[in-house]
Formats: sequence, structure tokens, C-alpha cells
Amino acid sequence: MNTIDNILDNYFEGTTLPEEESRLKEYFRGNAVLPRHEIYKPLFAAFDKEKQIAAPVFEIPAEKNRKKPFPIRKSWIAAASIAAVTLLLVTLVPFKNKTGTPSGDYTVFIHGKAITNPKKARQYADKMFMQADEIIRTSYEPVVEANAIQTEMDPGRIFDDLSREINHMQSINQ
Amino acid sequence: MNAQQFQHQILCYSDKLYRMARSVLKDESLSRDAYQELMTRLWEKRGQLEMIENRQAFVLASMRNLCIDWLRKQQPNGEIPANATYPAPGPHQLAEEADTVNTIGRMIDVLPEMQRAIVRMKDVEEMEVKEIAEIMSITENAVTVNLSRARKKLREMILTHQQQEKLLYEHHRQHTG
Amino acid sequence: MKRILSILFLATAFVAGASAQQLEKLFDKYMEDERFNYVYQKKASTYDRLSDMGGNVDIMMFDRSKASLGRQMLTLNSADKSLQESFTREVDNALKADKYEQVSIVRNGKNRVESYEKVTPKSTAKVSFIKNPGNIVVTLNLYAPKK
Repeated sequence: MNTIDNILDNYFEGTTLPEEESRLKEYFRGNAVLPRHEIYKPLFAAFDKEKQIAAPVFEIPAEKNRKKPFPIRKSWIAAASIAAVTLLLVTLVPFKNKTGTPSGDYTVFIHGKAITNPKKARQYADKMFMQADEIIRTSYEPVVEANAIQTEMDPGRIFDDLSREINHMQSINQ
Repeated sequence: MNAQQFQHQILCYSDKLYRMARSVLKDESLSRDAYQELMTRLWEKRGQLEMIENRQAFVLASMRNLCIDWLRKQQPNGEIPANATYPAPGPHQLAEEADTVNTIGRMIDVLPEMQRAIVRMKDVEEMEVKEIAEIMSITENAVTVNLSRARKKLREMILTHQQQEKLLYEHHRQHTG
Repeated sequence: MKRILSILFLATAFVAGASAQQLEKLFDKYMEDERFNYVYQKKASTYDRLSDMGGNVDIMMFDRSKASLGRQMLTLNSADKSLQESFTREVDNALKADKYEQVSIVRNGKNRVESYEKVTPKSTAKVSFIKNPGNIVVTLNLYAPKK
């Protein structure tokens, strides 16, 4: 039996079928709403109204447009300065914002030296994490393989190799 | 993917994306920024978007995640700000809020973010539970449970609001006899 | 820079009280030390990961239940045994102080890989501790809390 009362009950249990919800909405849009159901009319009217909210216009860029994430706004500057002060004091909770290098998402120090080139930093970090995962994975395998990977994990050498690769690619692209 | 394809395949979700941002951020101008930010990134990555099967789910999840990330950054402890409880409207508010539909919007905004997102995706956007589950990365059962909670909470707030109105009316009637 | 960092630590310790952050303090302590190598990857979000796609085509990556909140790794490649030992001890102590639970140990002759985990309402932290002679690596992975 699907009277409006039944459907309403199911509605609040979250178990209504899409067709039943359609029916419910049509009912509340109409003029035959029973007095005991009147109270829910604004609820469904609100849903209809929200659906009319439209997005602002997005202009497809004509050429490459490097936008800064979330352009600074007054309210954010205030929030950011508060956050910055808080950050200084409560740095480690739960995972702090490292400002070692301006490479954005990656912070890399090799023997104490910061890697500032974002691309190099990223590639190096990815490779290091991958290598570590590989060591962990193969730690379950015979000793021979583990040793082979261990010797490969020389950060200085990895970095130099990567640098050479990147420089090579960059010179090609020029 | 060229501009025209982007228009048809991605910009067709504009309104839903913008409404998602508004739901999470609860702020008009921030939502506009978030929307522009996401669309810019989607445009930049448009080549890879073609490989995605369910684009609606992907872009909506991206928008929600972007907004939640931003909210987390605003909090020193990385938490999403807690929601205020819905204050019982005072007489002044009741008198002003002739538009009960706006009131409902405020009530929805008081719900925890997950319930808010789910009830709007179901009741405003009319999406299927399966897709909502995918967007939120939760089970369909979890969607149903949260949907029920959200709707019941809204019912409770609506009833409270109505009671307040009645009390005010009675009070007014007695004192102006 | 080191001095600023140490002042920050003190300030943090003061403000945050008895916080369970010994392991993370270790990372901060050695990250710019020239005997170590350090990498830190901030939380990667969906669209950022898109740019990493390149060859891999696994794009449905908005899986928030496993959302990474960032990871960092400290590596000591040194023949200096006493340094290796003291560093290993520091990490062990930090793991204990932070109340990490040991999940597994795998031993292969002299090589050893230990993994630890700590689940809190705020996050799930996973640590892998590679104790290979000449190559000691500590990785801390943070994930969004399990729902």
C-alpha cells in the first residue's frame, strides 16, 4: 500500500524508491495537500528552490592560465594570519605545514640541502617512496634480492641520475 | 577534448558542482572561487577526463574534496568546523522569516556535512543511492542511514519551529486580546 | 634554521602539552641534517594525482576512505655504526613513546623491516622502519581516519 502517509514514513526512514519520492514531490507541489501534511510543504518547496541555483559562468581559457589556488580574499588573509601564528605554536598537530622549500607539495632535503626545483623534488620523492615500498615488499623474498635493492637505494646517486634525466628532457624540449 | 567537448561533457555539471560547493562551504563567494578553481583544474586536465567512466561522480567528488580540504586547512587542528546547533528562532526571527523556504535552507546547513551532502544529492539533485555512495566513498547502506538521520533531523527542526510559532502566536493573542 | 626549529619544538611542546609526537619530532630534528636525506609529500588531492597519471590510468582516485594525509621519510645511509645504532634507538624510543603498535617484523639475515600502526580518531598512522645495515629508513604515512 502506498498512501502518502506510508510513503512519508518510508521517506524518513530513507527507504523510499525514486518513483515514490517523485510522487511525494508532485503531491506537495499541488493544491490538494492534506492539513496534517502541510507542515512538510516548505521542505519540498525548499528542495525545488535549491535546484534552481545556477553556477557562475566559467570562461574556458584561451591560453595557458596559471591561477593561484583560491585567490586571496580579505577574510582569508585574516584567517591565514591567524592560522600562521597558530601554526608556529602548534606546529605538529597533527601534520604540520612544512615550509622548507617552495616546491609546494614536496619538501626534499638531500644531505641537508634543500631541493627547490619542484619537478626534481617531486620525482625524487616519488622514487624514494617507491624504492622504500619495494624494499618492504621484497623483504619477504630471499636475501639476494633484498641486497640488490639495498645497494640501489643510494639517495645521492638516485638524485644525480634523475637530474641528468630531467636536464636531458628539458634540453630536448627546448 | 576540445572546448566544445568540454562544454558538453563537463560544463553540463556546472550547476550541480556549484551547489555542492555551496553546501560544503556555506558561503556564496567562497563557493564561486571554489567553482572557478575546480573548473580551471578540470580544464587543465581535460585530456585525462576522457578516460573516466562516471564523470558526474568524479567531478562531484572532486568538488566536495576540494572544499573539504580547504575547510580543513582553515582549522589549526585540521578538523572540519563543527556545526552550530539550530537555535530555536526567537519572535523577531519568526516575524521576519516569512519565507519558510529559506528557513529550511538554514536547517539543512546546520546538519553535519555528510548528512547535508547526502540529503541534497538525494532530494535536490535526485541522484541514486548508488552514485551518492560512490561520490562519498561510503557504502550504500551508510548513505541510507545518513539520509534517514538527516531527514528525521529536519523533521524535528521543522516541528520545533512550528511549536515556537504557535507559542508566539498564543502569547501575542493573549496580550493584545 | 636549526635554532628556529628547536625553538618551535619548545614552543610546541609547551603549547601542545604532552603530545604524542615524538616520532614527528625526530623527523624535524634530522630533516636538514647533512648525514640524512629527507622527503615529505603533502597530502595529495584527487586533481593533483591526475597530473601524476602519465602512463598509469587509474583515475578513480577519490577514495576518501584511504585518503592519504601526507607522508614523510627519513633515510640514513651511513657506514657509521654508532650513528646507525643511536638513530635506531631514537626511533624505537619515539615509537614506544607515541604508543605505536607493532604490526609485523620481517627478518632476512641482517636485514629487518618492521611496521607499526597507530589509529586515532584524527588519523591512522603507519610507520615502516627499515633496519638494513648501512641503510636505515623510517617512513611515516598518515591516512584519514577510518569511518
